[in-house]
Amino acid sequence: MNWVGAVVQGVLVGGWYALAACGLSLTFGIMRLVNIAHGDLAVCGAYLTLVLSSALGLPVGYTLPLVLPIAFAIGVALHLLLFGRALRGGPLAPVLVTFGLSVMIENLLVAGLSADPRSLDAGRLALAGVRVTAFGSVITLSWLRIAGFLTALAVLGGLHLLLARTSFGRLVRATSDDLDTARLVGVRVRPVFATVAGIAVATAALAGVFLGMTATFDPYAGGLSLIFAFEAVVIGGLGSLWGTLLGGVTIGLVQQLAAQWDVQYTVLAVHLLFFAVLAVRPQGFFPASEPEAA
Amino acid sequence: METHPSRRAFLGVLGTAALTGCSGGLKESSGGTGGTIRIGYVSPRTGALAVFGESDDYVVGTVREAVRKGLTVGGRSYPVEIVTKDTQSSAARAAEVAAELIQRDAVDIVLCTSTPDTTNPVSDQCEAAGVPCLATICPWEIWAGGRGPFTYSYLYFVGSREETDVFAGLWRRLGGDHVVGGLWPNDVDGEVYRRFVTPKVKELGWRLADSGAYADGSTDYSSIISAFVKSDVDILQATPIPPDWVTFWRQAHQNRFRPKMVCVAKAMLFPSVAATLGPLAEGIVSPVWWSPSFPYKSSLDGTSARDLAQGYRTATGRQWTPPMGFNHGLFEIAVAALRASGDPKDKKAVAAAIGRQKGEAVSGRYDFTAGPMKNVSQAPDLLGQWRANGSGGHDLVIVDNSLEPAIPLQGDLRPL
Repeated sequence: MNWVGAVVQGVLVGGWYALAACGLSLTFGIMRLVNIAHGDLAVCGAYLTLVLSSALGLPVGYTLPLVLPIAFAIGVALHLLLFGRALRGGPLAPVLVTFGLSVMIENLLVAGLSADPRSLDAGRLALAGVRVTAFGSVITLSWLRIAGFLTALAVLGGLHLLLARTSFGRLVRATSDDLDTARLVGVRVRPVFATVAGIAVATAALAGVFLGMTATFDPYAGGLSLIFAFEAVVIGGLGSLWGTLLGGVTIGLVQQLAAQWDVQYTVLAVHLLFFAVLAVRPQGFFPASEPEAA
Repeated sequence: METHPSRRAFLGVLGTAALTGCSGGLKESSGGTGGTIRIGYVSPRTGALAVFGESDDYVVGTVREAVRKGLTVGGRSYPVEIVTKDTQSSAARAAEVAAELIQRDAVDIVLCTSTPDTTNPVSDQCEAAGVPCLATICPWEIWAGGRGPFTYSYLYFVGSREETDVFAGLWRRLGGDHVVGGLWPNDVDGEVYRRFVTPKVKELGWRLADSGAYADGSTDYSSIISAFVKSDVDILQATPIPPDWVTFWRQAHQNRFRPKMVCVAKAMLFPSVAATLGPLAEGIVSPVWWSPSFPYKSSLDGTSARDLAQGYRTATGRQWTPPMGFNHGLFEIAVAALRASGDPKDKKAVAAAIGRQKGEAVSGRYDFTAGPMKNVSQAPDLLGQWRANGSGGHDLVIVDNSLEPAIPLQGDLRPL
């Protein structure tokens, strides 16, 4: 592939990483919750879509109005039952609880739905590509990747507006800034956090749907998604949504550019970048220094 | 295995590390009833390789039924007990459960199956402990490479060099010159194909475009696909793991890469993968080491290959899988060797008896006396092409039987 093509593909793939990572960024930035099961919840979203679309005989796209509210409800329930308690149990408890949740989800999925690799059939569009000429070179782009990137932009933009412009966003920011003071002035923290957890799981499910359409998923696919999502969050800056987008795009770019040299080093290159960021600028490129950035 | 679901639930709660001790304890532990023949069976049932082990419950069940009355060896009658272990798709875990079988369950013979990650560590454990071991579903070059000499461990399976030759024969049927694209990941199978196919393509005087050793589990193949398009690849030779192949092939369509012939080892062996691909599976060529159309039957109870596959379908509602035949064959060879040993409790005699075995199992003919090397019986490798079967699914149609003409052809090769 030419360099122009690599850059364009890298940005598009990066959009998916950002989508997978934004829920993680949200829960960490607001609740200080590192959700190890985030990748597995994304895979659950893909399975939920698969089950619903085959049970109702609907195309994948039409099940989203059902999948996203269900995922949101699951997120709220998880917070009320697990995360909320875990957060009160010290810094290590959430990590252990979500790790246990991750192992449980994987094994329940294997037991219930077998280890077969699955994918979501998004119809003809999913297999179509478009040829464009840019800077004198021809690039083939998949519509699905373009749609994934635009969705990531829309989700991140929407979340930004929600946090920066609405009264709910003000509550969230206040709680995230100073939990105790927020409580003192009458903010009911539990519903706020539960809503945030719901939104995070819904975005994870959406990322899972795109994973299912562009690639395949099996009960163990969540682990790898989590690693890249986590790296996107750290590279972009902990807790910053636009930083997460940038982190995702950076990972996509590094992968594609390393592949120009030798595909063997694509994964290694991302991990090296992650390591370098941690060593040189541990707060990431765009840390959430201002509460507005949430 | 009766304890399976409960053990799996256990896993979910406890995590993996703490379980090592418990899982053995959950099974019936070995009493000192010297008279029972114990057969250990190691396979991946959970994890990334679970698709290989999905038919195990059924296969082991039919074998248990067939040997329910026990075996008579040298005039004495022995009850038979089969102890199964799950590797969780990890080589380290495979070595661990093999050691458990040898030390705690005191098995008389160990059978192991499915990918080098299972066969090699288990064979090593048995070789070191002096316990007879029979392995399958790992190309013999990979099993034998850099290890040995073998006294107690044996392998019954196809070879990669032969498979490469059969594929090359198929490519030549297209006529003219071609560019072969090799999609070979950074794992043992990928490396072995790279080693055998690269000189083969050179020998044919064609060009080769190597994907480079990408990591298993990659979700984006756009750079590899555009490199293939740029080098005008018209024959694709791939050995990806199943999920990666589905991802690659869909992205190949998205990026308008359409070679004339697509040969996929490993991933396209399984009907479940063809089902995931749907219409995209049409015309893909895959090796066939076993299929229900093989004209063989079980030496234990006379069940034909077709009935074995049909029985699985009736019992589980799922389509047959290629490992079924070989896993069943493994038990048949083990029983034949135990019978021929004169004393099933004499490990040296049993191991030596495997080396003399020659006969027919539901998986096909085996012959340990004429292998490509000592302790190996090479199985023939056929090629099949996935075709729509009219009822929405795909069937693997045998299009090349040059290595075993006794197995009938089912159709002609069709270009993609």
